[in-house]
Amino acid sequence: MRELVLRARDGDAAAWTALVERHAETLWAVARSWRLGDADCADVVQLTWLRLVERLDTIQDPDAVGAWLVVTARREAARTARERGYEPLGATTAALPPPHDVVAAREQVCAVGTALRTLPRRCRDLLRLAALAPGQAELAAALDMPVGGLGPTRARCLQKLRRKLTP
Amino acid sequence: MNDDELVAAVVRAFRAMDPVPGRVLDASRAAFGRRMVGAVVAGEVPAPEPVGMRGGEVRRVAFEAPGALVEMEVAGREVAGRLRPAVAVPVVVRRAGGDGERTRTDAGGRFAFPELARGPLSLVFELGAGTVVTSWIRV
Repeated sequence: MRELVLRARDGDAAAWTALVERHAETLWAVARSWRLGDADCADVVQLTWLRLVERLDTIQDPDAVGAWLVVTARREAARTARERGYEPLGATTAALPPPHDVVAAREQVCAVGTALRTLPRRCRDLLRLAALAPGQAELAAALDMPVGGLGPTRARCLQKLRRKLTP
Repeated sequence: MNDDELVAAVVRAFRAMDPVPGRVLDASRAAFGRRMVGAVVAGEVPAPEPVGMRGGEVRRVAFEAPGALVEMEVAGREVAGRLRPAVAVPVVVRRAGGDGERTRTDAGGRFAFPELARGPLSLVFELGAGTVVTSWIRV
């Protein structure tokens, strides 16, 4: 992480691409956890990267950039959600977006996809972010939870998912 | 399935159900091209109180750099603002993918974009002493 940030600061576009590829899915999931639509999620992710570009020369702690990205995305998503009049994170109901194509539709009927759809929203977001976030600090930032609470909550949500998979 | 396998299955399911769109990845990669080495970034500062002339849909934002203050009103996709100290200079809208709309400030430092495309943007002011760019906002 540190090396990628420092290389990007030196103008290395490949390092920047590697940063984007490592964190894009997490940032998308953060935006989605605020129930934003595609266009708003796209804006949140773009703004997050643009803000990083803007401060690339003044970053104090390159190792903390992952968590900074997540916090920034979370803040932008929260602001957008407020503007749209959405409820904050933690609401229990919300549909996932419709399938993007036939392959996705086929995948969706797979057991895990179906089970995820019936989980409480908080658990679904947590499992998604826990699976994607590069580290505990990023996950804690995405969920706005203390690091110590992550393990037990994740275990509870995994158990809920497992119960749905084995009726 | 053990926990690791289950977590891997969760990732696969979300990738299939709600993948990051390719255009979002493209724009994120392209963001690196918006780096302006040498430009002075005007960071967001608290905007002055509204004077009550316009409706509640107007968002006020302000950006400050050493020797330059930019105040803006954003109403939907209309942006109007003022550069202080007042000077007539070119204003360019920066977008994630490159430069966009252009205009000039008038002698009073005022500028307006009646209908901008939606999405993140930043304004670039070509001042005599150098280039000032505002931090990013969204319309």
